[in-house]
This record gives sequence, structure tokens and C-alpha cells, in this order.
Amino acid sequence: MPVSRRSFLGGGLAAAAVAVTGTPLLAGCASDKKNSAAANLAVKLPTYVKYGEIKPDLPGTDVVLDGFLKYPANPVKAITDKPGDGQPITFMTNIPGAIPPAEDKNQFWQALNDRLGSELQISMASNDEYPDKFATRVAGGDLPDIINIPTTTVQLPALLKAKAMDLTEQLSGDAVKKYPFLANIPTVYWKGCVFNGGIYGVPVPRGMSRTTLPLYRADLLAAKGISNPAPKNFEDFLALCQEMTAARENRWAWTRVPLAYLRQMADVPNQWKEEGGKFTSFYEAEGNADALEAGRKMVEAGVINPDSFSAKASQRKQWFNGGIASFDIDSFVAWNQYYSDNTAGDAFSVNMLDVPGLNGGQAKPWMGAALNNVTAFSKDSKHSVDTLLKIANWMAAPFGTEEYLFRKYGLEGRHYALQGSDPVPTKTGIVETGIGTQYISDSALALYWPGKPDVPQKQHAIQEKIASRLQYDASYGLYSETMSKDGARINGVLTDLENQILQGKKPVSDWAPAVKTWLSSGGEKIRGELQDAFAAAAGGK
Amino acid sequence: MLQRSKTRQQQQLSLGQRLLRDKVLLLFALPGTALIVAFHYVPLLGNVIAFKDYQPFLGIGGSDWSGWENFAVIFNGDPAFLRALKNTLILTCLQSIFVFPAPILLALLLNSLFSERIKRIAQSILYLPHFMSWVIVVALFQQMLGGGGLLNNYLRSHDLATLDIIGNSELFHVLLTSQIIWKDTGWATILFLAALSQIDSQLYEAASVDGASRMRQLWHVTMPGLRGIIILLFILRLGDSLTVGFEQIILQQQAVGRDVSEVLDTYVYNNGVIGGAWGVAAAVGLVKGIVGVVLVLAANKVAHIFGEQGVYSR
Repeated sequence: MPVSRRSFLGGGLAAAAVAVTGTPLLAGCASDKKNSAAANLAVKLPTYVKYGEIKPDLPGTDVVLDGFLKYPANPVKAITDKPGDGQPITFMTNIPGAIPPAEDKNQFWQALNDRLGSELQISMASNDEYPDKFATRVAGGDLPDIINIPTTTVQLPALLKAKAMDLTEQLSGDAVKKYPFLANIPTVYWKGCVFNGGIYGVPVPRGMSRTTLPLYRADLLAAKGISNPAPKNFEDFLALCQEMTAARENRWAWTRVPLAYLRQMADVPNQWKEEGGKFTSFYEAEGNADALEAGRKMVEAGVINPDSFSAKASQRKQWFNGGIASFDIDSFVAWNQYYSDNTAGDAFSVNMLDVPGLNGGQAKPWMGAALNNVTAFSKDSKHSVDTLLKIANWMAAPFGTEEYLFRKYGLEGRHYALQGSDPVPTKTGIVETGIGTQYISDSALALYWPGKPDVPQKQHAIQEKIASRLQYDASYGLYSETMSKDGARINGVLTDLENQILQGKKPVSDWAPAVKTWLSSGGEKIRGELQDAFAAAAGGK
Repeated sequence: MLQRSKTRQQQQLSLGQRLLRDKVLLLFALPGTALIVAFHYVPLLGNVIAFKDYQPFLGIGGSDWSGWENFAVIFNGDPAFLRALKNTLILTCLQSIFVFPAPILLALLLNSLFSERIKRIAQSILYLPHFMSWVIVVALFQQMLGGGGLLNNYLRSHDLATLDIIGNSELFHVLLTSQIIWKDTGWATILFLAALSQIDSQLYEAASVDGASRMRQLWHVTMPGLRGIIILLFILRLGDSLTVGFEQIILQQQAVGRDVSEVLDTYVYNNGVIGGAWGVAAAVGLVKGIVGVVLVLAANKVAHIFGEQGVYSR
């Protein structure tokens, strides 16, 4: 990570200098559009133009993702010009896997620079640490050209307005067609990039691929004679967990309490539910008490790794990969990541559980968050908007193109071995390609794992199974000032309480009063703001 | 007498003359002073955000003034703030009672060892943990005492009940204190050992000739010899008595919950850096700093009253 003079002195001195000179940074803001629902609605979203005609082996729908059993032979090189301008471009991101080798020792990175026509200088942090790093860099006033901005960032619209380029002119409506791979991102994902009456970023789409349910080690379950686990209710589910626990051998069924899963079982809505214009937070749902009680039972039954409450995500992933745990709750993206990180050999096999009701029947799974992050371009960047958008466009090249093959799998020989038309990654390939470029922009996920057609088959099957039952978050694309400003803080109190209840340190009955406090300390205001935004959107239609 | 004549001499010299006389010394002090000014005093100006609705992306100049609004959590007794204050005070007490005297006892113990060789080896081993970062120390404790750690694995494999130590909110304050003692006690003995070596061995000989037992010698020779340094360190400790460990706590906070683990420093972090309430966080940090200064000055005053030199003389 390069430490420039700017980043070194950034925090204190630059801030102090501003204080002394008293120069307000926003003085020159000409277009003073507010982040109102009306202004945002007025923005014409980028036109969706589907790219290419690659026929999936497992066709998807609007919800279910396309699945491919093989990589298309002779992939097309879709972009002929190098998108870069020859000058280094800086980028800051999280990375989900292991820390990759630095640029000078990373042939993938070097080849990428060559293809982009600009050196991509990437400053990385692990998933766990990225929000801290991001907040600190913002506070230090030291932002790179391309910024991966978590959607939960405090005061996101104001931040974007102060620091990011307005991309409306370049992307709105048909203008986006200049960047065919950005135009290939469905309109719904762009909705989350509209702030202050303009388009302020490029989406990194997730949605279905981010839908999060229990992943299980099918190989470990098979070793116990369990071939197709489909618990019918919570009791069944707990029995399955107990079966997979052998504490004396240091093996526990779960990496952590799957509270989100238990909530889905208990019919708790996905974030915010809307009925006749009235919004309800998932915290308020009655099912929470049952879900928490169920979680407690799991802890009591000893099916959760005893260190789960103090473990970080990276540690939990190690447990799952190492077979210390046979269940983890995560998404389709993580499912693939587990195959990348696999240390258990060829037998390694992952699958996903469906959601039954706590007392039987079928429950409604939560649709994954639409965006992984918004990628914004710094106002202070010396590069032209066009260059940065061309880079993002390159990064969004979809499955089937030569660009996709390279950006996901690297160079043949070093990073992957060609098996038929499938690029089967090598260990070097996995480590060197994990530099986080997918967070500049990305095409919608295609279900595919090179050389393992059973992976997309399993993924496609579970997606088809749950698609019709998915519950959506009604607050997506609606902005609440209070949620943005105080959300992290007031939600943190409840997360803290959840942990204490699950560990049996506090009774489940503490939940209801805590939600009341949550409502009075901001929740009620968030509800009001979301309802207003929803009404404005409905009125505008 | 000597001191008084010196003072008179100083009064006779003008400021310019004194600067000229000490120019070499002042030159030596310059780099250090510049460093302190640049990295300690200039950033202090940033505390102005305690009086602003500060947004990092707007900068200090661009954020609106908000008067004393950010201090409301302190004056109105916001429960989250009070909780942080309570935990901080509990840990301050625990650390004053258990952590502060530990190196004194250890230094006395080391000092009583006859074999220089054993003493050196013991010292080296005891200094070592100080050089580990908190991440390592916390991970070590986790690996040894955690739910899936060495101790509990042993207990489980022998069909014994497991012990819930790491991540147990009831034991958290004790755990924190033990970790600090384990990590820093050895290192903190250095100053006391230095002070012990300064005590004139003739005093011990004289005491033993007078028939003083080892305990008597300890009380009448050793302790008076250590008194100055103990008071000095205690006053300095008071200055950051409200700083009870940040990294160590934040690393372990998730498991035990904020009810027992939120202290002023983590409150500032969770509200400021994570929660975006920078102004409130700065206000709390500022008050904490002021309390620290007041404590140091007051303790120093008390030391003077009792005839000790304290941190600086009058």
C-alpha cells in the first residue's frame, strides 16, 4: 500500500490547514440539487441493453441467474482499445480472500495493467476491516480516483456530492450505450446509484447472488450418511446440527448462529416491509422472539463453535474450509469463494439449504441486497470521466467474453489450466487474481465453476426452488436521512443485544423494550422518512 | 543555599543572554520540539470539531458550527455515554489496584534473586510479551483459554466441564486486567529495578548490623528508596487513567457486548469513526483529555504538599 505524503500528513495537518484558512470545500458547488425523492425520481436511469447472445445451459429468469456448465469456446475479445490513459489510476477496495502478492510480484496484476493501458494502484483491506479503512481515509481527505463505497456508509448522499463526480450526463438514458457493458447492467441496480438528483456511481450488482442461506459441506454430511438434508422444521434442523457436532473432536455444526436464517424461518420480513404505504422494520416483527429463542437453543445445544462470538469472518471461513464446521450462512458469491479457497481437496463439495418454517411448511427467504457497493469516481481525480467509465465498463465485461475470462481467471498456463474450454484455476491463479477488481464494476453473476458443472447445477436448482418465495426489502432505492446518519449506531445496539441474548446472558424478553428504544431513538423517524420517500415515488409514477 | 544563589544568577541574566548561553542545548532540543509541535500540538486544533457538526467529507471549514450541542451526551447523561464512563472507571480502579503495583512487587522479587544469571534470564522472558501487539496477545489468550482453545479441548477430551472464560461478559474486566498484567508487568519493572540499583548498599549493611530482618530492610530502606519513582509514575498514570486500553478492548468487544466492554475510547471510536457522529466523539474525547490534565495537576499538587518532587518542581 503506497503511503504518499498526502496520506501521511492528511489527517491532522490538512484538516488543521482547512481550519486556519477557513475555506469551505463546497464553496464552488453550482448545481445545488437536494437529495429529495422527487429529484432522484426525475433522473432517467441508464437504458438496459443486453449484450451478446450467449445461450446459457441453465437458463435463468428475471430472478434466477443464468447457469453455464462450460465456458464458451473461443471467447470474443469485445473491447479492442485500451481503456486507460497511460497514467496510474488509484483504487481502494475490500478483498474477500487471502492477501494477494504485491504488484511487482503479481503477474496477473501486471498483465491487467498492460491490458488497461494504465497502472492500477490498488489499496486493499480485508472485508472485516474495510469499513474502518474507508471511514479513516474519508476523514483523512485522502481518496483515490476510483472508490469502492459500501452502501451502508454514513451520510452517503452528502459524501458523494462533496467528493464524487456526477455521472448523469455520461450515463443517463441512452448515453450509457457508449459503455456497452455498463448498459448490460439491469436498470434495477442503477436505482441504488442515484443520489442528489443525479447518478453518482456505478453499481456492483448482486441481488440474487447475494441471497444468503445456510451453506453446508455436502462431503462432510455425506460421510455421516446424510445425502440430501431438507429439514422440515426447526426441530428437524436442530437434530441435523446435533448430528454434525462432535465437540470432543473439536467439530461443531455451525460457524456462528444463523440468526438471519432463523428469522426467515420465523417469518420475519427482509429489512423493511411495506403494506399499503406503511413500513415495518424487521426488528419489529413478532417472529424475532421465536428466532432468538431458537438461536439460544442452538447455542445451548452446543452446535455452534464456542468461539463464534469472538471470531471474525475470515476465521469462520477457515473453520468451514477446514471442516471444523460443516455449516456457514452465506451467499452464492461466497459459495464460489469457498471453492476458490478450498483446501480440502477434490472431495470438497458445498450445497445450500432451503428455508422451512419454524414449525413446518415453507418459509420465505430474503432476496439479497441489490448492490455490493457503489463505485464512485473522485472529483479530485486527474483522469477524465470517460477514462474512468471506460475502466468500469471493461470490468463489467460479462461471462463469455475474453475480458471476463481474463479478469476472473488470469493467464492460461500460470493462472489456469485449460480443460476443454474450462479455465481450471491453479493455486497461483486464485491468489494472484484476488485483487478486488470485481468491486470496480461487475456484470451480473453467472452461475459457473470451471471444471465442476455440478456447482452451477446445484446453485441453479436452489435458486429455482426459492425464487417464487423471495421476500424483497421495500426500502431499496428509498433514502432516509436518519437511517444514513444514525442507522449504524442505533442498529449496533440491537446487534449487541442479539449477541447477548443468543449467549444466554440476557433474556429474550429484553428484545421488545430494546426495539421500543430503537424506535424512539431514530427507528420511528426512519420509518416516516421511508414512507414519505415511498409516497413520493408512488405519486411520481 | 546553592539553589538560591543560582536563582539570583539567573535573574541577573536577560532572556537573550540565557538563550545565547544555552544555544547548544536548545539546538539539541529543537528536532524533538518540532516533532511534538507538529504531531501533538497542531492536531490539537482539530478538537474544534467538538463544536461543529463535523462531516469528514466537508472538512473542518465546511462543517457548520453547532455550539455546545455535541456535549449534550455528557451533560444530559446519555445512557451509552454513562455506560462507557462506568466501565472506564471500573477498569481504572482495577488497573490502579492490580496493574500498577504488580511491577513493583516483581521488581522486588527479581532484586532478591542472588544469581545474576537467573535474574537476567527471568528478566528477558518477562520483557518479551511487551513487544507483542495486542492482536497477538488477544489471539494467544483465545487459543489457550477460548471455547475451542487448548484448555477447553483438554477438558472436553477428558469429559470434564468446560470453562467459559473468553467471551464471558461477567469475567471480562478481570480478563482485561490479567492480559495487561501478563503483557506489561515485566517491562514496567525496568524503572523500578533501576531505582533499586541506586539504593546505597551501605544502608542495607547498616540496617542488618542494627539487627533489621529482611522485611524490616524492605520497609525502611528499599521502600523509601523507591518512593520518589512510585509517586512520579503514579501521577503520570493518573494523566491517562481514563485511557484503559483501546485496541485490546475493541478486539474483544463483539463477544462480550458493549454493556461491559464499552469504555470512553471505544465509545469515541464506535460513535465517531464507525457511527459518523464525529462531533460527539470529539467532545467526549476532549472532556476526557481535560479530566486527565486536571488529575495530573491535582496529583502533582498533592505530591508537593507532601514534600515530594512530583512530575515537575514548583
